[in-house]
Amino acid sequence: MWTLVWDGVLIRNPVLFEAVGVAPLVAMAVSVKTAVILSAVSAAELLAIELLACLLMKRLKSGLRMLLYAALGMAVDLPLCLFFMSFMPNEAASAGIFLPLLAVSSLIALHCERFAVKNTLPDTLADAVSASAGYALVVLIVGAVREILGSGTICGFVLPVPVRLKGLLMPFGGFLLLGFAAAAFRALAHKKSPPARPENAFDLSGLSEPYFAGPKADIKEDSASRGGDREPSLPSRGRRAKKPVRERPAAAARAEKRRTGRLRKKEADGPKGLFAEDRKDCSSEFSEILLDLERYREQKRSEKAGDEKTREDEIGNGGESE
Amino acid sequence: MNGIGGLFSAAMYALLLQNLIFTGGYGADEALRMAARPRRLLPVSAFIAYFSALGSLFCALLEKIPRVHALCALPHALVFAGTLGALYLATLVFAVLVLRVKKQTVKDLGVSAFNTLVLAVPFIRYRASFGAGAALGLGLGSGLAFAAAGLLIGLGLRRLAESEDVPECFKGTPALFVYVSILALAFTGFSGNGLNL
Repeated sequence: MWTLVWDGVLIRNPVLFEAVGVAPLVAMAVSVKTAVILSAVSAAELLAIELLACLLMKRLKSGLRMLLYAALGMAVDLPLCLFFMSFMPNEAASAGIFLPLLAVSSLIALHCERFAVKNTLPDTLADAVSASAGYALVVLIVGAVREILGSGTICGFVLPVPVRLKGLLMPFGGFLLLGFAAAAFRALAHKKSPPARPENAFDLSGLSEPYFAGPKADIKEDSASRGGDREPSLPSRGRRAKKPVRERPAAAARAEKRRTGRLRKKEADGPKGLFAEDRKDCSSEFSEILLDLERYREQKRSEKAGDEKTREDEIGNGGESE
Repeated sequence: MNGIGGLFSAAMYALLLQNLIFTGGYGADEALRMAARPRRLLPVSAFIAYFSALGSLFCALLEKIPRVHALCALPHALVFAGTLGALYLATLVFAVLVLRVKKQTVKDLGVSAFNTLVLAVPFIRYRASFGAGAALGLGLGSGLAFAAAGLLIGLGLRRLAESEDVPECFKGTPALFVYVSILALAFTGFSGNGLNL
């Protein structure tokens, strides 16, 4: 459990390596107090909604789930807004409209869609705790640095800071600090566990795609709707990935035989109706080409099988001689 | 004429003067993700323009009701979220049952409807007391701002991915954040406010 939490905090930090929850952070985390508000609201929302999604929403369609995440986000967020407005009024006021906007933070929707609806309750709990802890850690670090360097204070106490960089209090300052924090975390993660490659979490595989896919790209087509540029799912924690299914050679041979048989039958039957003669010529020619192709494929396959067998024999002989 | 003028000036405000993504940080997560998936950038930008424009317009019309107008800030948030939810549900039903769109498009609709940018637009309109025309312009401008942000970030992302000069620990999201901060600084300059760095 602790390994999973640690993994989520350092190696798969939601904000630094997955780039989610960035918007509230750059706009709102300008002091330690606002950072505390942001982390508390985000953690409460993430825990409550992820657990509910795991328990109740697995069978719903993703379109409806998105609506429910927003509704639940509002249900959790508004009482917390009222609480912070009464206990920390200045900080809540400085957060501005971002406090109610946290209800639709991408941190929640993404973690629910990629993890909670696909995994068990203990795994989801671990993910929610690790993501909340990782997010809170970054928010507090960025909030503290921005308050010290931007305002010259920490938790309201004035510090003898020689230079004040007020630009850090603006969103671009937040992005800049996030960049440096991400680099520091990445260096640390690389030192602790070199095989992990956190930069892969922010998926760049589709970067070379064209910008325009045509107006009909969004309409359902059988072949296109099955495959897909789906959202990459987070790796399932504590479980092994499924092995790719290998086609059995006997089954493949049977399928091949059926296909060849069907072709031969078609050739024997011949075309019917108008222009039957012309079509018969063309179809017989085409069938011959296909049969040639099948023969060539079979020949290649048998050659390949022979090669593999000789290689295995050679390896076997080598092992014995050693 | 006033309405059309308001529409254009509000659109320009959201796109250039106060680019909501770079100078406000609204919808930055989605812009970063869509910049890495160029094929989805334009549809998502169009959906964002649709949801923010219509959501903002309906909220502006609801404000005409005295009871709604008299509400304080938090109940207003509920009204805005409710309006957006109803708009999303109607669009979803139409898209799935009539247009029979792909699963990916349904996902894109969800991402476009519920994000900080689309929900922020009615708030900004409410604070600035914009009328219906300006509300529509603000929504369309935010969609354009999202597309512009995605294109600019995407261009930088390609260059960063190709470059071998980026230090090892800055590869990936760290370099991306630094690049976005430079873009945000440039757009903050457009706003005309003194930076006081």
